[in-house]
Amino acid sequence: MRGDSEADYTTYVSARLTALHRAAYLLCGGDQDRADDVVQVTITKLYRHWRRASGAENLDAYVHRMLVRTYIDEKRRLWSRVRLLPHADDERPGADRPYDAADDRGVLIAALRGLPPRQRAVIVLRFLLDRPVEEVAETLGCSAGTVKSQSSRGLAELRAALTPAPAPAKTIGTLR
Amino acid sequence: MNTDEELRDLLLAVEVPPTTADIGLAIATGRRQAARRGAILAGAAAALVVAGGTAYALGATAPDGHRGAPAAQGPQDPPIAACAVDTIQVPGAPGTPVVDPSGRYVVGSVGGIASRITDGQAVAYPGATGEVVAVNVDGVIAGYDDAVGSTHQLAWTYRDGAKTMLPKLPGYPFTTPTALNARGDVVGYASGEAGDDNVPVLWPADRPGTVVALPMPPGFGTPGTGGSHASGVSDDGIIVGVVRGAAVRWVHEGSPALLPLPAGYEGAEAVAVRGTIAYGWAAVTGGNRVVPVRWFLSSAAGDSAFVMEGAPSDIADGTPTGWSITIGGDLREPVRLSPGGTVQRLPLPPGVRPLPAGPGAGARSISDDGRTVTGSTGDRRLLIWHCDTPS
Repeated sequence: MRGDSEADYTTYVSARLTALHRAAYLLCGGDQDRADDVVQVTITKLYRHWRRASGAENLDAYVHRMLVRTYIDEKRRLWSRVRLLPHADDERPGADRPYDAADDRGVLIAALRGLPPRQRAVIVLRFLLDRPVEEVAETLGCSAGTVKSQSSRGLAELRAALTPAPAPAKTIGTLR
Repeated sequence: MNTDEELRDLLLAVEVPPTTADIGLAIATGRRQAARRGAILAGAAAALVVAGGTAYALGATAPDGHRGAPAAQGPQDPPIAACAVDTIQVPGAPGTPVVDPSGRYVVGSVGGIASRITDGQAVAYPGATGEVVAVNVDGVIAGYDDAVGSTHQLAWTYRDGAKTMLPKLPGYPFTTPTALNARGDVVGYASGEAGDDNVPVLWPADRPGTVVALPMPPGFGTPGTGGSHASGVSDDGIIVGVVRGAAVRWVHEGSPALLPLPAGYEGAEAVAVRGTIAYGWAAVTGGNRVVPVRWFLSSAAGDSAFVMEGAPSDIADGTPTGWSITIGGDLREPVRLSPGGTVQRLPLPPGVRPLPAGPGAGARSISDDGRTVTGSTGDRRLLIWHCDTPS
């Protein structure tokens, strides 16, 4: 990669890193380690393909697609096994999930965790990243109809989780 | 939560811990992958530079429990060789060239067309559009096209003036070649859209139009369930690669064997094989350090590993006699490793300095006699080193 291209890449990724990480964190149902991995793999792929990516009509859409496809692949054993991240030995706050606040936001994370991965991807792509139905369908390799039905099913689950119930509330394990 | 906007607001309000994703690491890893897979970056000037002695010494470790180090070590190292580097300026954004094992063909993608680099000029092969991955002693080329609308590739070979697309594996829309041997066997991987669901494959020369999914080792699941690929093939049909974080070898299409690792190392990848030596790297258990490894392959005595502690680990290629080259690391400063493990810096062209003072350079392939090495500078000049290495 040329020096100026590399500068462009660094500028772009620096500006988008927080948003990409939020999307990955939600996609991964609050699993911080996995979200970090998904973002790391995505920005590495983006570096490799920067020449083409930077010519994309909608670069954000292109990168979101890469992020979601990276997330959907559940089996990135190679990356996780030979872990080269400098923070590999760091203490992580994941065990007690301090970021799962005891309010709607925490419930939302728990509810997202209860959704099937592709349904979660639909929710994040459509509602957090604001991608149109057709594009989500293309990203996930399914029909627009499937995206719509997955959206409404996912939304129903989230609404149910966020609505206080008079009867014993659903637990994470019975959401699906 | 009743509206889409409210959901979006909630998603935006979720408190997210700070990310540890690292842009510098992404760039370093991306460079390394690009160099290995043939996408690193390109005057007709030549300079004679003597490689600067032993840049830094390293402890060659003969691992416990494995048949140890090769005979040539330490004091028996051949003398440090002198290398001249040619820089070749071509227009556009050329791919880094590769050299065949005999040193006769240096081939790279120039202007999107596979071209022979000869006498400081790039001569295009008619109809050979795409990126070049490897060339064999007969001038047969393996390469790939970028798949339209995807970040993935489609593999091809080019021989006798004709480009032939290699067959796809059912269920996998993409194919990437990584290596080619004298017989014309091509190895690489088939992949799906996700990019990491790769299957190591062989396109055997004696069965044109055929693709073979290489078997997984016992206990490693089925193909397609993890990052796996074949990365090298010897003239005798020994294939090396990585299966879900473990270095493996196949003999033709037979069952794979895990390449051994000494205690204290976990996770490895074989990146090339020449003759009976495989080259790659291994990760130190519990740490973030990666070290270069050579494996000596023997059907009679079993395979043995030779770890080169302290040497740069981003091996790009090697020879049948134990010489190897590295891509260039974070500083983009490629080195040659002698059979005994001595590190020698490859001279950079005048005015080209390692990062961050300059564009740096990367090395990609080495001829079997160790005399010809190809690479490119970070600002896309093509490089050919001519060394007087004894072999």
